[in-house]
Amino acid sequence: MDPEDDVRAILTGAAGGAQPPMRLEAADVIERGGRVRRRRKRFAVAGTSTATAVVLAVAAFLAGHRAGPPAPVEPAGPGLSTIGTTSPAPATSIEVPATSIAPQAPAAEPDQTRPRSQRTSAPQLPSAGPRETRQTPTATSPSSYPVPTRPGAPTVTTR
Amino acid sequence: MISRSRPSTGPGSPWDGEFARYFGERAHSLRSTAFLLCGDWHQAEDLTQAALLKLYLAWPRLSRHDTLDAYARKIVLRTFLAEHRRSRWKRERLTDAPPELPAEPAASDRDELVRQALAVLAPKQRAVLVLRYFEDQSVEETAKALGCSTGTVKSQASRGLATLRKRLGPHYGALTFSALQEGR
Repeated sequence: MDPEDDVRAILTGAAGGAQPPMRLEAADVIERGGRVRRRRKRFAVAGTSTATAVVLAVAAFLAGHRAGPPAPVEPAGPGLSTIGTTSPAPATSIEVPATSIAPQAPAAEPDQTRPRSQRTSAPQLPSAGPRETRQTPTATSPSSYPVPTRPGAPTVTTR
Repeated sequence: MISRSRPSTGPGSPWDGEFARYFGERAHSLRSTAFLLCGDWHQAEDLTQAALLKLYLAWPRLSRHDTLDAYARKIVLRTFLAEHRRSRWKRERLTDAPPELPAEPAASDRDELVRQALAVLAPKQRAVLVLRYFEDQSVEETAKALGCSTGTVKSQASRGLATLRKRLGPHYGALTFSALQEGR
């Protein structure tokens, strides 16, 4: 006899003796399994819906906060403070009294200009002597430049 | 054995009849296995119910129904071992005064001796002995069901048998003789 047969006989005898009636039925297991399956299905639907909502919320958040394309750079226009503050230069030839000193030569070349501070008011009338009437260009926009006199125009002098 | 296909589920699943037929054929055998593992008929019934519930839930994914017995045995075994792995505060406590008292047949002295001897063994040793000598599984099949090596199965079986023989003591020979007489 196989020495392990005695163990087989003991175990078979212990489990194969008188048994209590089976209280478990297939219908109970099937009903309980159906409940578990429906609950899992509900959880799956809820989880999927939640995940979709979270993804959509994150996508909307990112789309709202994402910087758009940079606006095109426009050239600077004339500022409000420079428009109309400078009047065009008046006529360049002004009658000068004969008593004024006649210079030997022009104080400056016609194309030379003295630096002059920016003026926002109308130019004053020259008091005496030859004077260049062309105004220096200011830092304002070209549209606000006063009308210059011709560089080669002779100044009016007395003799 | 388990396929990936998942058919639709509903209140009246198409496999209910097939499962009910399998339940009628194999529930008693599974409960006997569970009884040898845990040593209590009520606990064995709970174990069987949990295992059959898992089997029912996995039923639509099963592709090979010819190996259902081994799969069901494996579920019972894993459920039993998982129950013993739980911490003490999580495990359900059995009281000596249940609310309902079923008519349990009086266990004979021989069954009581065997039950006490099996209760001394470690759960895994008990599982090895039940699979090897009650279910007549080979060493390889037992190792596959338990998820361990064949060497572990052999060593656990040897230690379990030694403990069982030592525990039964002088009754071992008489138990063997009577069991063999009943078997004839």
